[in-house]
Amino acid sequence: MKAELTLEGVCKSFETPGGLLTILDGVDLSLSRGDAVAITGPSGVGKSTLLYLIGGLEPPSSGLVEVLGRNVWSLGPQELAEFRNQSVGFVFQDHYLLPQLNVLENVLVPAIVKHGVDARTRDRAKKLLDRVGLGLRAGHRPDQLSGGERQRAALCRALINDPLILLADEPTGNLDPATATTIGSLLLELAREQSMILLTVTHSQELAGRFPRNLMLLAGKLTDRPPTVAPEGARS
Amino acid sequence: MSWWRLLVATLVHFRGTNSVIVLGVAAATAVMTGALIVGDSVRGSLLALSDARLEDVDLALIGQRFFREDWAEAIEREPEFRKGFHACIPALVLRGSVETPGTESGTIAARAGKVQVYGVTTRWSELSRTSRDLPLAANEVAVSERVAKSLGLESGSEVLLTLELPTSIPKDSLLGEKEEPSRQIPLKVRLILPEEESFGRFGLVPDQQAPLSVFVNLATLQDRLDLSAEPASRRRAGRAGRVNALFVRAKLSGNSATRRSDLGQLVRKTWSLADLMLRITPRPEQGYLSLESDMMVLEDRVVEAGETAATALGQTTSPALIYLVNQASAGKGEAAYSMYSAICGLDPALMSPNVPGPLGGFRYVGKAPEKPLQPDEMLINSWLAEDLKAGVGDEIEVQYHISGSRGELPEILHRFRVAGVLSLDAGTANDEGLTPEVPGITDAASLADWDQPFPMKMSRITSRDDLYWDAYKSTPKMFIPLDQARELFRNRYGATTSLRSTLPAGVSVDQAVVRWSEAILKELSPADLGLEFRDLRAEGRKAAGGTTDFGGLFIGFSFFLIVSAAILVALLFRLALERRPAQIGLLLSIGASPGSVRRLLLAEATVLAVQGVILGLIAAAGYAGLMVWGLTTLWVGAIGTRFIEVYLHPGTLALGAALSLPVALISMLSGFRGLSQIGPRTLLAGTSELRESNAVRDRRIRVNLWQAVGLGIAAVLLAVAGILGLLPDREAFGGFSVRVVGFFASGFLGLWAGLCGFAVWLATPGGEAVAGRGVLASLRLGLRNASRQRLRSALTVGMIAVATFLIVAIAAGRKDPAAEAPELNSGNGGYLLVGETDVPVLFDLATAEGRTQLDLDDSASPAIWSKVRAITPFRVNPGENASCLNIFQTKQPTILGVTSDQAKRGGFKFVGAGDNPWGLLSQADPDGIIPVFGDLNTLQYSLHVGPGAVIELRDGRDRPFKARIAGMLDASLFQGVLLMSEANFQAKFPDRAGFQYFLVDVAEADATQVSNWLESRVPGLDLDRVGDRLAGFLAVQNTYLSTFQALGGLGLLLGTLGLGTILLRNVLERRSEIALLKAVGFGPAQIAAMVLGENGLLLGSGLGLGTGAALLAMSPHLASVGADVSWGPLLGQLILVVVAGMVSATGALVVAWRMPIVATLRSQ
Repeated sequence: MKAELTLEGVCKSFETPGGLLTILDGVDLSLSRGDAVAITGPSGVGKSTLLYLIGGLEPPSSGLVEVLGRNVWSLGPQELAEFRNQSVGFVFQDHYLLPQLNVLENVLVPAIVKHGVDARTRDRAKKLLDRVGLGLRAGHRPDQLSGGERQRAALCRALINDPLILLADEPTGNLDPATATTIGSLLLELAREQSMILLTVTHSQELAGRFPRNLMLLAGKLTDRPPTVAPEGARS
Repeated sequence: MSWWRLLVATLVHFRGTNSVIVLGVAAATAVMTGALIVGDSVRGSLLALSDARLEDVDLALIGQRFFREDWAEAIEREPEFRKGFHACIPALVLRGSVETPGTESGTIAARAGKVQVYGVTTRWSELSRTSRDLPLAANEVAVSERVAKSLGLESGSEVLLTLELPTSIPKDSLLGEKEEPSRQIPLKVRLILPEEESFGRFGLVPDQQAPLSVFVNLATLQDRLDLSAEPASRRRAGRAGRVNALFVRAKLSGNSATRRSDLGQLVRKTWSLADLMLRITPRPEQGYLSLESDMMVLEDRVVEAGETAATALGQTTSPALIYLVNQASAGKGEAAYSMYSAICGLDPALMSPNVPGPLGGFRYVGKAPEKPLQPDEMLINSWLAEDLKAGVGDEIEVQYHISGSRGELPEILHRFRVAGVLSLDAGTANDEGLTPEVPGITDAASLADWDQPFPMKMSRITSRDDLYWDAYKSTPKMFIPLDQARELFRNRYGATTSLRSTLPAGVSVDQAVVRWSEAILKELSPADLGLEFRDLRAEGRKAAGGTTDFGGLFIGFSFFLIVSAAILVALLFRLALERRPAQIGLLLSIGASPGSVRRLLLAEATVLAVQGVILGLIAAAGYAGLMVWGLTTLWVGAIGTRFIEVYLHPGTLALGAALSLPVALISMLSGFRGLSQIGPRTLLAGTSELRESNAVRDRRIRVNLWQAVGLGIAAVLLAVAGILGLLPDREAFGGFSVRVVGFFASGFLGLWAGLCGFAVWLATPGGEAVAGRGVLASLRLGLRNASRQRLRSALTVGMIAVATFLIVAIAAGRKDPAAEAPELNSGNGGYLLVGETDVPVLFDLATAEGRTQLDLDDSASPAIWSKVRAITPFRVNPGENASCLNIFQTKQPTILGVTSDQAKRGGFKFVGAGDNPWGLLSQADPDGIIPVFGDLNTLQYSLHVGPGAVIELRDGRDRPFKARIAGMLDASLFQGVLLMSEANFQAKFPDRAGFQYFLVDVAEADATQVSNWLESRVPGLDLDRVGDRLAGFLAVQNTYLSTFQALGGLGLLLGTLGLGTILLRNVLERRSEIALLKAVGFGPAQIAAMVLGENGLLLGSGLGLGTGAALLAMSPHLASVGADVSWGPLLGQLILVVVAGMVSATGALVVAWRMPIVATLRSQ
């Protein structure tokens, strides 16, 4: 089966007062629909950077990032924006909900970029909120939600445009263990339900252990490593 | 959900921050639109003032000539007049001085010069908007409030009104009256006319300042100035009382050109030769009519009209020029001479015996000349031939006076060869009618009875001379060719004393007179003779456009206020955005294109800008009201009137909005300009600043360093060159000399160098940031914090420094000319006193002869004149005040005629001219364009022209002529006037006799004594110190500087709010660090020292750099004698800025201190 997401020899360096710092050094990766991968590694090794350059938020210093056969970083600014809007869903460690909007509106924000919000989209947003247990909180403001609820709303926002790739950067980093477990389960369930590629960066061994595939980023290289706990699918 | 919904939700959610931005936009809009409203208000108020100044006078004819008082009635009787006009009121309009008598007889206590004197009848009330009557008895006067204030008058006060005595014959011509140049009229003050009441502001020239004017009973003035009605006498027809002005009240404010044309037609329909000071004297015995002038000389245009009219009627004409010869002799013995004889210039063709009478027909004793008379040949009559024992072929020497330019009468000799001797018994040479009537001379019973204005050698008069007078009166004894007579005797008024015309056949003499009169009048136009009606109302309205666009001026004055508000708006908007970079990052991360995000922010900015502009338009009226209040109180010196009100025009509000909206939008867009270049990841991390690479940073530091060194060296070199006098004093641009520009440039370069140096210091601060203990250690940390956001800190310091530079430079630029000693090449030209009189002085005050003529040669005189180093007279054609003291638009400034004495003396300071440019005034122009000088302020701000420009002026007959600006004086005494050579002046203003403006070079110690003496002896002379006059002009400039300084200071204060905003940004950006410092035990004092230390560094650096650079730029001025810097207020203003700047930092301080430690640390 041809991979929908391919990374070939991806490198990323930063200029620092001490000289050039290379954090990604020839990363290769191929993922297809339905793949769910957890990336772990020590702080500062470039896990989040890897997500951002896959998601079109930060360019690599060299190498290729292909999605559906298209080199993401050969796209123009407008096409790149469309790519982020249509093909990628982001879940950040911080929820970044807009305080001026209610939960439903926050979920619908990505939809206004391309086609605008119609009844179908609104219905999908409500369903997503129902799915994550926030159906009754749709009219609430972000500051009226708990941390877990905010992150669930952020997850719905990432899924509203039915993306191919769901990128989650420390999605449970700010949450208590129980809430983190819930969010982790939701991520995996929804990715599977919608046949997405799910990449999650996490320090949580518990969360990583529930993913069918674990990758370790160390010294700029990505290597496979077996899950420390049974993956979500295996447990079920 | 939609973009619109997102926009609305965002605006509502951030309403607190947004309302501050809206207030910032409102401030900028209010200042900008308010400035435009000030412009409207000044224009509108000037228009109202202009209308109020004229009462119900719409048009006026004000001439140099004196015409029939009842001409006004003749015009009013015309049906065409009644269609478009209400009234035509005669009056006398003169200039004079009003004095209050001193305690000792013959002395004066106070004098107000250049007072407009109106001789009015009871009909004057018809011109009042409030039907105000001026019930003035014969010895009473109504004075304007300004006259009353300047002389301390009250109702019942006694005053002396000094007026030039009008004469028909020009005073500076041979027969002009010189003995009694003026008359004093004692009057009692009946009324004081307040400025706000009818006629209290009445004035003919546009000027916002209250007029110096008095109203006197017309009959009284006519009586005292010999202008009363005269009954018919045996020799001449009776004459109506005379006036020199007609004021017309129109029915409707119709088209100006039409109204003037209508009145012009009525003038032509109703005027008479008498109104033009002309007459036709019938000489039926001689068979001709003679056109003559009360002025003694016929103007060339009148001669031309007389000839054309006569030709049209089939009459033949002959011009004649009569002159007075003091003595004629042929060298045939001591006793063979003749005194005081008339010589006549005639067309030589008429002197042939073959030419029939009445114009020709000479009969000769002996042989008639074979050829027409040639130059230097003359015919003499038999009486003179006998007196001189002369005959054909003999040479006759004639002596005659010519009128010098300063009243002197040098005697000229000329020799003629006798070509023929005329018979007195036959032919037409025995014709007394060739000599026009000259009252006091031609009607005298004997030569001894002559009332002549020049000394006669009475002892030389022989009995034969008396006998001739008895028998033949003023009949010419000598005839010469007309062309040569004109060459010898022409004066600037004309070259013909009479125009004779044959009597037509078939009509009576009276009918012939009427026919020729009417024909002549048809040939003349009012414009030829300066008898055109002027539309004063239209002129006033046009002048109300003002010399200065006060809207533009106040936008300029408020420049820093506007810029500060705009910068503040940009900073606030940026601050608002920096509180949500993650939101922007999120929008980008979910696929919103940068364009969409920009559009969203633009929409947000637009909504805020529109709200701010609407609020600002409301506030603009208040700001304008404040400025108008300032103009009528604190800065009243700038406009010289308190009659300014706020005028609001919808168009101006729309213009204000149209100007303010883009300014606000540009300010806000500049606030998020850099934000769009930051990647979403960085934004999501909460960072809103672009990170600079090491290479870029190092390169920038190197560039800044080189700039600091290079610019610093350039500044020092330029300043040294200026101090050593290596920079030329010629004009660089806009009236500024290279030297002044050089110093200003050195200051500006110094400022720039300082800012670059500061940027380098920020990038590479030396010393340890963490050292010491307590508050001092925190302060050190604060100073180092300024280098964290180098660009931001440098820009802040730059903004404060530039504003400070301008404010200090302006404050340091004040001058007090009163402190300056007279110096030849300065604005005072080396003179200490300046004087003006409304009574022209016909003789030269600088010469002993002139003083003798003026009766200033008494015993006290030598002591006084030994103290006068120089006294330079100028001729004056009064016009509008074009100095900065008048804010109405001016077209015809007062013109001074410069004598050759001043040209030789040189002096005064010129912009971009050689050593002594005065010679330029006498340079002939091939196109006949007259060279003139003007002061920089007059040329640039009143007339809006520069050197080399050609402007149109009007001559003494109100005819246009071209003048070229040949030189520009710098900060001179001659503000408000134009200067032209005496020769050109006399050619263009022949009616302006004598001198009315004087500059006196006298030692300071003698100034008061000389001034008092001259004022008491020269009629109407009012002397001021040149320094005081210059200070009066500079008061306006200094007031403008005050206005600019005040508004610039406000801008600087607003700028300190910007500084506070930047500080707030810095604190918010470093909230985690501050939280950490607090967590590790920093107390309020340490936090305050850190925040305020950073603030103090930026504020102090800006103020210090700006002040230092300004003082460098102004150092030559500060070292000069006339520098008049108000250091106290300046220091106060700078201290206020420091205080406001530190207070504005307290906002950041409060935020820093209130930050919850744990939450802040966690959130980061």
